[in-house]
Amino acid sequence: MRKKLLFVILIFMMGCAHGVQNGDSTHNFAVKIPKGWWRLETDKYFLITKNNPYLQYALIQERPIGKAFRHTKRILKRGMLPQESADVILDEISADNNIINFELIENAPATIDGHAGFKILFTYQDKDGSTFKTLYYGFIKGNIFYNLRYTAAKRHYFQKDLKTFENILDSFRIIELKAT
Amino acid sequence: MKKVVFIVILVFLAASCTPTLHPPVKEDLLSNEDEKIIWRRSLEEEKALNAKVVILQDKKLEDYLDQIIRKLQPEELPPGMSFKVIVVKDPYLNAFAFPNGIIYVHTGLLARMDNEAQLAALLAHEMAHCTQRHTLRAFRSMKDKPAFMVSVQQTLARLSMIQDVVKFLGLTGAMAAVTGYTRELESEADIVGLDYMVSAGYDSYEALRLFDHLKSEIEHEQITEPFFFGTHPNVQARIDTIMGLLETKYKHKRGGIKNAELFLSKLKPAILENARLDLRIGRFDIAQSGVEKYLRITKNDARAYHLLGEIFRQRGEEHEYGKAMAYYQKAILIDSSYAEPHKAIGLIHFKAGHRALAKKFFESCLLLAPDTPDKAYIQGYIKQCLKDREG
Repeated sequence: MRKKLLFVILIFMMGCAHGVQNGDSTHNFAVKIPKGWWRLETDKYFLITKNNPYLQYALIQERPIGKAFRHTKRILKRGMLPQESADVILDEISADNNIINFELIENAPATIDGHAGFKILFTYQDKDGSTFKTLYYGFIKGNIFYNLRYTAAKRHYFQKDLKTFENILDSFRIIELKAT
Repeated sequence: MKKVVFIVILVFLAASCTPTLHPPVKEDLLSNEDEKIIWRRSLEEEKALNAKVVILQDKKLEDYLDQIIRKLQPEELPPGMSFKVIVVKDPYLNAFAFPNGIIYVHTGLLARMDNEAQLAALLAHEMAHCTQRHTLRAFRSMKDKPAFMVSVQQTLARLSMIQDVVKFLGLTGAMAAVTGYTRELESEADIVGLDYMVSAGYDSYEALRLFDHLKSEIEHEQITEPFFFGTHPNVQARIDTIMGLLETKYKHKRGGIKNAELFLSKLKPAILENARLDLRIGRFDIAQSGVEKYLRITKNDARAYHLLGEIFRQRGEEHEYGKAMAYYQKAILIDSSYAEPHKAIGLIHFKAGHRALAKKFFESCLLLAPDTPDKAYIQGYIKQCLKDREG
């Protein structure tokens, strides 16, 4: 799966700019792409990476609340507190069979682009036994759940590009809300 | 891919190895090359599986399961085979055995049972798969099908459809747990399993009740997960087989051990844990049934009442918040030092805009559990309550 993703990314890399704001985005947000990072953009994902997604990636999603998750029947609802949203996300992640030895390190409130949200930090192993660390921010605005996550190989890579992800997070802005 | 290669190797080995289709139980298990490969592979898969699943650690339950296994197992076991039951924290209904006798049972399945006899029915069925060497026979039977290559292709196609499960459980585990064996082998496991059950003195009618009970729950809840009975061939045919045996061969064997009370007392931690897992995946009704079952065994348990409250609160229907609140209050009455229900009541008040009450409960939560993992959230709520009051 990751190999396929990498292949798709390599294809996209041909036409991707870097070090710029995603002004041509079809998404409702803008974010500054760090210099040297490459972008993959689809309707579903906004994903950037420096080397390849297996080593590190930042993923930004906007997801309609109420949309079903894959592993839990719980859903996000309008008016949920950040902690309640975090609990749903944690349930979804920890119920995923592909996430092995899930370990929650931190679950705390956070502010993203001025919106009250949450941040969760966790580690897990994939089926090949590689260990990854993820920092996941999320918040609900209107009928959309925005989330920004940074995942990297736990050893070496996570710490190495954490500051870059924090810059991405700081640059995140909601630019327009689609009618929902 | 390795798994696909493995099955291809097995299939081709089958074409050149001993023609015995139904190896006698007493035959040295590891005497044939293909069986050696299956056992080696099973050991690898078990090892990999144990690293992926969360095993329920409960010494009392382990001892209890060992006792049941000892009652059920035939006097003579194939050489090298030894039974052991591993309980996996997983709310989905499943059970499967590796050919060496290691049986995995999900808490989801255990939580649905009523008594020891039903558990014995399940274990006896899985044990029969091992003693009758069904994994080996399933692989060997491939070579005897007339359209040999078609069969291989079908197997591979089937594997690709369930590749996620194969990756997770391993090949032998996936076959035992999800795709099931052939109708003949499942039927044989039912017949032999029933014999083990009756020989151990269990009430054999409970085997039928287990089938009926689970089948109706599957239909009622519209559960579609891979499942011990649901995906195995012709469930109704298997029910009919058992019914036929009970009315003929075991006609005079009515009654026997059920051990409902003992079973529930040993299983209660698994029942409560499983309700937690069902809540996590948003199966609110099933989670509620699980906690209510637990509370029928253990009357005054603060954690169980808190969990019931969580089910009603997390379902997110405002008209149910009153019920949630009542369960939290009951949990506090039973154990006033338990912080979680204080926080939960605080959350309900906070969302309803009752800031003073919310603040009171958040503060009592922090007083009882100053190092609660969600301390930062609670401090934030208290701050917000103060801010709103000033505003």
